Amino acid sequence: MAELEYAPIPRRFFHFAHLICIVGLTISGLYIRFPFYQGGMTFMKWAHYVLMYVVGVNLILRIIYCFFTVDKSAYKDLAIGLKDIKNTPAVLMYYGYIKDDYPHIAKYASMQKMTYDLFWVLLFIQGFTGFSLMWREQLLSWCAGPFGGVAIAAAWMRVFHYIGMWIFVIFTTIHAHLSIQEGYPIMKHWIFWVTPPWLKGEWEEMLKKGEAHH
Amino acid sequence: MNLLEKVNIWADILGFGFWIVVIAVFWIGDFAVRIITKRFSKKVLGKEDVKAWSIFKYKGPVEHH
Ligand code: HEM
Ligand code: HEM
Repeated sequence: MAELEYAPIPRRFFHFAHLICIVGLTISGLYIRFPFYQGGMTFMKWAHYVLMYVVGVNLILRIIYCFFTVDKSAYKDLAIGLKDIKNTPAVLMYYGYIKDDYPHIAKYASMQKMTYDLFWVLLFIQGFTGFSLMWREQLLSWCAGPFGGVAIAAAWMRVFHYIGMWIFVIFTTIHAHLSIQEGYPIMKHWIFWVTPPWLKGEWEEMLKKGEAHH
Repeated sequence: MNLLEKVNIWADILGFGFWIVVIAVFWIGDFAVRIITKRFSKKVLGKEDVKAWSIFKYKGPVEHH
């Protein structure tokens, strides 16, 4: 068995790249919709176009990494089963300050798994709706009928793309808050690459109990 | 106003609206409750409470022998 860490370097790297890209795409995307200062459109569009390719390549590499490397079983940490769903009320009671703890049945709690799954599914949706604004005929002609033509379909894709941005922004706001409040030392590990000495032991315990995979 | 225009405006209202609510509930509200109840990082560490003022100096659970 290869020696692995709680979060191996490639995972921290992909995550960091995602973070930078999503923040950059949100700022540049919001500027494209609401030009909040004068004369930045060329730069902001350019930034959005560069970052969208970077985030796309990053996503593809992340997926290759999670299926074909030594770390390939870790994707199971994101699988949602019946026991996760059954545990959700207990997790909500904890976050609602009603209970002091909840049963730890997996590395990530159920809503945490849902958020992480949502992130990559949503990124595909942003990719499709985004590229369909550039390559309208190629990407939209097969489904333009019900919308009443390619131009109107593209106008809808633009709204979907914008709604997608809000879902990203809202979930990232929650995700960042909880990662700081609930896992400050682990947040430092992921974002600032500072590894607390006890992290490895903690994680090996999780592996032993079958709560995490690698 | 056609449907597309309505959805556009509602996306603005609900997007900004929910985001502000989430910031108020989490970044401000939840943080305030954590300070009042002094409940920090308990779940991840599972071992001890971390007090509000020491969260940024926290080095991980203390070994008890
Ligand atoms: C692979 C991913 C993406 C692609 C291919 C893409 C592509 C595009 C394109 C082509 C535009 C139109 C720009 C123009 O009018 O010249 C656009 C606008 C925009 N993008 Fe993206 N984008 C992607 C990801 C994202 C992400 C992740 C976000 C936010 C989280 C985002 C937020 C926005 C916003 C808010 C707009 C303005 C929409 C409007 O005008 O209503 N994009 N994007
Ligand atoms: C804004 C600041 C952000 C912070 C502070 C942050 C922090 C973290 C932390 C600490 C974890 C690890 C949780 C654990 O192992 O217990 C994590 C995982 C994760 N985060 Fe973030 N994150 C941020 C932004 C984002 C963004 C923008 C995305 C997606 C677009 C994202 C997607 C994910 C995913 C998918 C995971 C699962 C683990 C993995 O990728 O291998 N995060 N995040």
